[in-house]
Amino acid sequence: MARRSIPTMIAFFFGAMMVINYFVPWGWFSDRANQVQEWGLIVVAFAYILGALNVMRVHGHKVQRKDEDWRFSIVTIITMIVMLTFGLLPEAWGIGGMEKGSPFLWMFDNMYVPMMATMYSLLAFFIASAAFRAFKVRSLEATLLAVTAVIVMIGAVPLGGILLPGSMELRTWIMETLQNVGKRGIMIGVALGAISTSLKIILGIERPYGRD
Amino acid sequence: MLRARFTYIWLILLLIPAMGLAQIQIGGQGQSTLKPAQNVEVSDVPNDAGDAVEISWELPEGVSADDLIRVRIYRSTNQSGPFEQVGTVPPLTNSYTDEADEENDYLVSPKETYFYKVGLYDGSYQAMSAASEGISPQISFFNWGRLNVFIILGIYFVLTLYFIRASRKGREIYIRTLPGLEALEESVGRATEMGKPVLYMPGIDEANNIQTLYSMVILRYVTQLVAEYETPLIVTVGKAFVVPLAEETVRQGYMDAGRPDLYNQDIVRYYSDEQFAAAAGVSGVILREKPATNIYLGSFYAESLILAETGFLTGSIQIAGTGNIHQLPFFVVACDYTLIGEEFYAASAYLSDDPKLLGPLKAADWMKILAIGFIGIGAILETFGIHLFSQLLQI
Repeated sequence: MARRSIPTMIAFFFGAMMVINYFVPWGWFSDRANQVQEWGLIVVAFAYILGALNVMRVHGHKVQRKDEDWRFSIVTIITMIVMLTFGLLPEAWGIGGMEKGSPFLWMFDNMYVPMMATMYSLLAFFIASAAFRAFKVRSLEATLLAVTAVIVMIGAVPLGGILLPGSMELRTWIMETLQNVGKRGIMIGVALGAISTSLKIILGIERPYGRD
Repeated sequence: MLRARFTYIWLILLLIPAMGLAQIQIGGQGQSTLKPAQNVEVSDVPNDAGDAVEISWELPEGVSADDLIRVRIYRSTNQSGPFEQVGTVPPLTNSYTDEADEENDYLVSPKETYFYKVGLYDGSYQAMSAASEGISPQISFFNWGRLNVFIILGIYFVLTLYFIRASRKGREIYIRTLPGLEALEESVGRATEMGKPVLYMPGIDEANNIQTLYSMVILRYVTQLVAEYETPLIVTVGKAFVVPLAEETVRQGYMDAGRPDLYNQDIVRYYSDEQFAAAAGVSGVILREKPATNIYLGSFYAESLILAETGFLTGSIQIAGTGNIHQLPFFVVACDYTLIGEEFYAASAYLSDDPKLLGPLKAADWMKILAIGFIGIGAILETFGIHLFSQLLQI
């Protein structure tokens, strides 16, 4: 019984506190609410330790079992240890810290950032392949989508006004009227769903935490 | 004679700049024609913690904003001073809010009485106004500016409780078919037949995001399903904070299904808090382990298409759902089933048929009707130039 009621009471107390904080500007109360949020940050900091342990465990087991592409797991473990070590070493030692000139920042700027940029750049190709499938004219709805997409794309480039006169104005109308109407409809539904779910969690009706 | 005249002219020429210098000096000592600001008034900023004061003033007759460089605001706890500068505004502005911000951390307190002076500065001279009346900021215990939100939230709360009660008493609540959720069991069955795993990703946002939290509810259901079929499960996580949450949910799901023996610690895999590092890691899993079913339910951003397209390439059945509307088109294009916006939040009620969960869904439907009504009334009144209704709904 206590196993169920105590987490529910904690969720209700802190959830209600955050809702009340939105309506009560009183400094004393908002200070307490901010303090609770700071506790959250401390808990998050500890979660990184759990995250690092998870990476070590999952990839360690993979190496142990010699699963497919297990060598990549060794690379993952080594790079994590290297980055952690250089980041945690004291700056005074000359090779530690995360300031300019440190090995950590060098690796971050010259290895990590380009890899992230590469992943992001892949999006362009994925968008092209996804668009190719989406704009296949198979039905009336697909035809409408393809025609609308063509107008929007032509209207978005400077040459579009010359190629298809009025396309820029039409694009603006499509984006601001047709597109916005649909988007706002979904947004209202999402907002109501989020409020409803929050309410269910605060009241203990929905319990994504703890055990039954 | 001629020499005497030259001496006289030299003296005059020397006196001209000296007179000019003297003029500037006199202005600097307070004898400029620049008059001080008038009607310096102070008022309490409503609906706050008693930590802000609004100061307003008028420029004196014959002085325009073009004559000034800036306006300085001074504050003291004593009418006779000393006054300390707390802010500067451009000359076109005629009001200032004295509150803590990034540049000014001198907070006003409800326990003190404050007096303000306004200094008009024209580049060489500053005309200081008389001290304002004293003011003590007031603490508000309720933000009346958000009363409309409070009322609407109250209506929603009452409706939710009413429909939960009605549903418990046996009132039939209809939910339309959601193909994405209908396909969950079918997709897990397919994975079982193929002997391949099911991949579940609860988004890449923190656990304090309601979508991530709600995704855990669906994860528990999916875990129960895979446990019944004895299908392998992979849960990929993009935030360290979600790791313990996902581990606990998966463990509980296996226990609910009566198969705690199937749980192992490698099911939940954390990749990185960095968006594209996590996307790269999950894409790697999709390409290497080729799950038969990929389920993406939660808060996704630009990585949504990278994941969904990678899953499409490997031929997986893909079910996605998110409240982040900018990612919905990507999921719609690349996935077999997509839960659009509110459908995502309807999952637990749909899957469980629990009256407690069906009630809030019905309440949300009534709130949508209310929203449609508000939009309609607002549009009609605004067309006729009546702004009262839209003002009432403003935050």
